[in-house]
Amino acid sequence: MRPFAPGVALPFQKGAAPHKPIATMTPTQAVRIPLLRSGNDELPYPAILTQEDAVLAAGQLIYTSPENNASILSPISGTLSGAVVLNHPLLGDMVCAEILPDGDRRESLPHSTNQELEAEEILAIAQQAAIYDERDGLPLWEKLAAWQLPPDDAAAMDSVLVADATENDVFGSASWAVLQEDPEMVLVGLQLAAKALRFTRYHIATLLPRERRRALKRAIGRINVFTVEDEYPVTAFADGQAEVFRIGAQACLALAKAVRQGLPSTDVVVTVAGDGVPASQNVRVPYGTDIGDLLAFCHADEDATLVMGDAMTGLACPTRRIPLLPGVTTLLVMRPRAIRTAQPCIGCGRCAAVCHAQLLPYEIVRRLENMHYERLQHLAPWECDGCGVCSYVCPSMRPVAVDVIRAGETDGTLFFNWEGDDSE
Amino acid sequence: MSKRKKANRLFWVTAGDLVENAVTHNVVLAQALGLCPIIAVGVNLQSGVVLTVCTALVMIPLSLVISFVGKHLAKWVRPALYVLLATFLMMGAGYVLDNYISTKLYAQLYLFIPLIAVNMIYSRSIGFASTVKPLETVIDAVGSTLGFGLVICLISALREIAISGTLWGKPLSSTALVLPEAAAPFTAFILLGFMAALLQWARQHITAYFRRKEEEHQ
Amino acid sequence: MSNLSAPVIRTETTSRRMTMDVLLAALPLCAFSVFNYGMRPAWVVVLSMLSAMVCEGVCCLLRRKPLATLLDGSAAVTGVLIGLVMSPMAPMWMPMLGSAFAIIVVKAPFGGYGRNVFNPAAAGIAILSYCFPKSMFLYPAIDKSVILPTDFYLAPESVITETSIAGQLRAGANPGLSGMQLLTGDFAGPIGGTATLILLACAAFLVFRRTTSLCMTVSYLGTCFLFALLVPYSGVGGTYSAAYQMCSGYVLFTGVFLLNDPVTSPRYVIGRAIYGVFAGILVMLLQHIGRLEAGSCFAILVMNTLSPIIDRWSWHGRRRLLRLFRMRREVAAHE
Repeated sequence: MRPFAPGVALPFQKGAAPHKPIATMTPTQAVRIPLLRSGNDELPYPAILTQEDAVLAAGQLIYTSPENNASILSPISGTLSGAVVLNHPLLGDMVCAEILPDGDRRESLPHSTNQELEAEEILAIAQQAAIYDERDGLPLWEKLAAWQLPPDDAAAMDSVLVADATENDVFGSASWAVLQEDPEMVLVGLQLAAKALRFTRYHIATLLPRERRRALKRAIGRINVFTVEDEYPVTAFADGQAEVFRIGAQACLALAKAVRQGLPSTDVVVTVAGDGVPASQNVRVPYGTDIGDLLAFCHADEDATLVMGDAMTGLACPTRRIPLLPGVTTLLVMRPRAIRTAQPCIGCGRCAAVCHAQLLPYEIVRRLENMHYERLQHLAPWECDGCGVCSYVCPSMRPVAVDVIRAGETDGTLFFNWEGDDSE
Repeated sequence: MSKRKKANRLFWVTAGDLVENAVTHNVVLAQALGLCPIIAVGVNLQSGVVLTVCTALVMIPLSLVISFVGKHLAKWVRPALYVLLATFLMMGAGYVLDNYISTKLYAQLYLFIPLIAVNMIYSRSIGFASTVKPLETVIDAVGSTLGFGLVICLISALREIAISGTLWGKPLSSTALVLPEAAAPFTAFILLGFMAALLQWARQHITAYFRRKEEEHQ
Repeated sequence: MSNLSAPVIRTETTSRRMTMDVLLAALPLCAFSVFNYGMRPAWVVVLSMLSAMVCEGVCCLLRRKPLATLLDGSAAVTGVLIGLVMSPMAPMWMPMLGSAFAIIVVKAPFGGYGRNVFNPAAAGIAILSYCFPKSMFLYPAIDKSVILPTDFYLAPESVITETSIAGQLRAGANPGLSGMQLLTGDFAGPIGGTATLILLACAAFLVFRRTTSLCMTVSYLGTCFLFALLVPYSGVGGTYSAAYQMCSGYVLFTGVFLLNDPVTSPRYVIGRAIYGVFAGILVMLLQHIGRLEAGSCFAILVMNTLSPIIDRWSWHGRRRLLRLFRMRREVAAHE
């Protein structure tokens, strides 16, 4: 750790999970795939939902979202039992297709090829294979299309495409396990994505233990591996001033499989960890699998709380009966613990020292508490990316990050409309 | 019976008015006016009482005159005229103090009488004086003066005891436990701070009491 | 459920650990004074601490807060710091009065720990220095064979007293101490203000534990030393004068303990450095031209009022400068 740099060194609690082989889980309960938001009457109702008892194959296209042309595939083979409205505690209500599993078969995409592809062809395959970036849950082809530059733009020379396999949070180790399983394919996927963007520079960013790092470098070449600083959050994903574009390592793997082997992307590797499971484990799970089903597979404690996401940014989730959606690679199962009450800020200044966005979290929180919303705007709270380090270091146990995010969402005088007056 | 009821009601309205001006909207503790004389010369009870009398001499005639003529004047000209009027009254008060009470005290306090006079123009009761009837104005002015007098007398008495162990010049006890440093301004600031905090705490109870009484005699 | 808000894990550093660090650092200073004068200094410090804690307890009850608030240790720190700047022969009611004033007037009315505007310890010391300068700055001569009695009130005539370094410098005399004597604290002074080496070790300990800020301590001490070098007392040589001035009064003690109260000092790194520089200049100016021979506490109180402004301005200033540089670079790249 660099002495005056922002960020903190987090404790290593990944256990043996990153070095164990990835377990594969077959769902035993119904799989639910969200198709559109509930109450959205403008969009046509998905035709597939009217065909009850339709037999679906794994990877079969069931719906194309009219909003962004995203393909939605059936993650498993089974029979469609109909439409259900899912009340997701974090994402809101969604209309889902419910599929009852009947054993696993794979079906290939028509475009499997080993030939050289054009950039647009790679994006089309990514779209058809329904590849999501596992780090934020956005469709990969959408991200790549947004970043794509004209063929002769000089900026492509300075930009770096990074496959993010850092896993610098406390428990998560999914991308480490993926890198151990198939490093060559991850690299192939990264090369394909870089080609789609016409970038010449690309590498895999990791934070692996020394032995594993050496093995990885031997496997895929020293130049393709970039070791980041052991600090949270990571700020340098490449040397120098190059502009960094990050995609997930699992998305790279899925892209490689889609292009080279014609396999659709229907599953994701998830770390199940925390003190509510006997041993942390990486599990390959189809999208839409019921999280309660997954936790039972991992022998998780029934009384423990589910946290969606990793230790620093995860959100406690009041129910386990929700499907696993893209964007989650870590599930924590935590036993209940004593509530440590927040005390007044004592002004130690640690939150400002560790903030990599160079904000003043304590001052933002103070102004939010004192309702100085106008003056809040001078402190640029919207620049916060919610990494949660300020809450982690706070000696008074204050939920600093939560308040800063709330401050970033306020808009000047918004709060003064107490009476719900809509006329102004 | 009805006459008595009316008198009762008048009493409670007047008392409520007085208390509102003297205590809950105290000139010093709630409006932060006239701090300078309290901090600088509120070191013995004598000067405290004399300053209170001077305030009354300025405040009551001033508010009476304002209530009669204030509403006939343009708004922009009022402050200047009020200051002018207060200056004349203040000169009279100073003359009385110098010639009939004590030249020594006048020498001590002459700097602070104009300060009070000008300060009081910004007080709440003067601000309302042009819009209400003369009698009510006088009650308001008496209340404000009482409030100022209460605070300055209390603080100067406490400081006099601390500084020299005397009250109104007479020694209180034979023990010589004195703290001459209490004459420094910070003691007055601390006392004022605690008194203001106490007032904040007591305010709602006092207001509620008088509102209840007024409603009872409605 | 709600007890699992992000982040799920937290650092082990709590505000209680920070106050305990300060108390731990105060222990060797107290022990050193006990070694010099007998048990009296320990009593002074302990009574001061107890007085502060009792007052804090009363204030907690008045403000309807749980008495467990006492356990954060902030009141104990205030009391101990006030006790440490007392003269070893000070009457015992003095630090108790100072602690009571610090808690009842300076800390509790503002809302307690974390919300006070002024450093309570500095305010307690300030009022004692202002009201009782004679007992405050009367130090017993350092003589290992004499043990001060632990009476509640010690008659000043019964003890051989010695003028402190600050007093001698202000009178235009040369204290005539060797460098070794200065380092090992072999001179008259307040309980916790003489042991230079121990103070420096305390500073290193607190900075290492991240209880105090390196920036602030270093900028303060550096400024003090530079000032002392540039403005020597007449009759005393340059470097020696600087060393004397650093050891006089409680300049070092201020830098290690009083200045570093996290609540009342700036929180942003650059702001802390600026704060340290200004505090250093003010402390040394008060040493030179102040009415009292040690006026660090007044300097701290003045700086406390400026700390929020310094804090915000330093952050905004840095941001504006960065934006200016970025704009320049972009313009240059464009051309």
